Amino acid sequence: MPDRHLLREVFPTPARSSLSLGFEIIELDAKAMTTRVRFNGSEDFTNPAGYIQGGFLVAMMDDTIGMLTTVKAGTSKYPSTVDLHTHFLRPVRVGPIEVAARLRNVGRAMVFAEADLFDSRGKEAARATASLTLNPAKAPAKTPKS
Amino acid sequence: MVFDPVAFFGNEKNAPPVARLLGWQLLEFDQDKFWIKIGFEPKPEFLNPAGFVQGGMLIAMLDDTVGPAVIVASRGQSYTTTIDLHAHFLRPVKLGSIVTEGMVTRLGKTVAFTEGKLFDSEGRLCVRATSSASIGPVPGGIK
Repeated sequence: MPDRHLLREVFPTPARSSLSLGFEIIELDAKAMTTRVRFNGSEDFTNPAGYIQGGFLVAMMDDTIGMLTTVKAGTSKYPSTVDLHTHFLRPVRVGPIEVAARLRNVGRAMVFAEADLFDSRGKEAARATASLTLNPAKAPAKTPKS
Repeated sequence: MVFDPVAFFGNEKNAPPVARLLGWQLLEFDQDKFWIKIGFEPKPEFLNPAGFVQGGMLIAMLDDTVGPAVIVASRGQSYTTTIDLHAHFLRPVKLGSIVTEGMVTRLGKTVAFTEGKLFDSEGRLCVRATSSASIGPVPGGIK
């Protein structure tokens, strides 16, 4: 995994959301714009059926896509997720979870990304597509007063 | 048996670990309008590197809003398994109390279509989601 050092340059300390999800990098290839990340599907994330609640699966895919986009965009730009669409293919039990993500299109202002989530037996359990906007790091997007 | 959402969601047996983690709380509901309002208390552990609540955590809250909306709309007869969820992130969310609203657009025999909105502590609309879910009997029946 040649690009592990990039992760430390971009994220000197991991985000708290990553820590609570058990984020652990397995592979990172900045040139191919692909990555694999392992997460911990904790008991705390389970729904009434005893499976990992869908939103937490989305959180894992969002965390992976956000990390990969930040590595690609560098420290001068900051990605914000604009939209994210997830299909839930099968329920996920407590245990290790793996997310594979790739950037499909990288523009100056927008990034389009995809992620697949695999359960502890390696079966594909969720799939997401997302778009992200790249904000200048020192001037975050303005929002109108409501 | 008349379905009482306050008793149902107030029952500890019906509160999954994820509800405790997110600080889930039933605020309001209207069984005839298929509508529900939920409060959440995000933790500092949910923050992304920018210091905002991570988007997936916001989706977890919306997923935990539209699911209960189906339980309310079906008067406790149906439990959901989310098929898909599409979220638009309108603005970032700072740490603070969150309010969500969930509405069942159509309650079919096997699939429910829902919409959710998430508001930050200042009442600003921050996330919108549309979702579909397959529906089935509540596991173990209504308690």
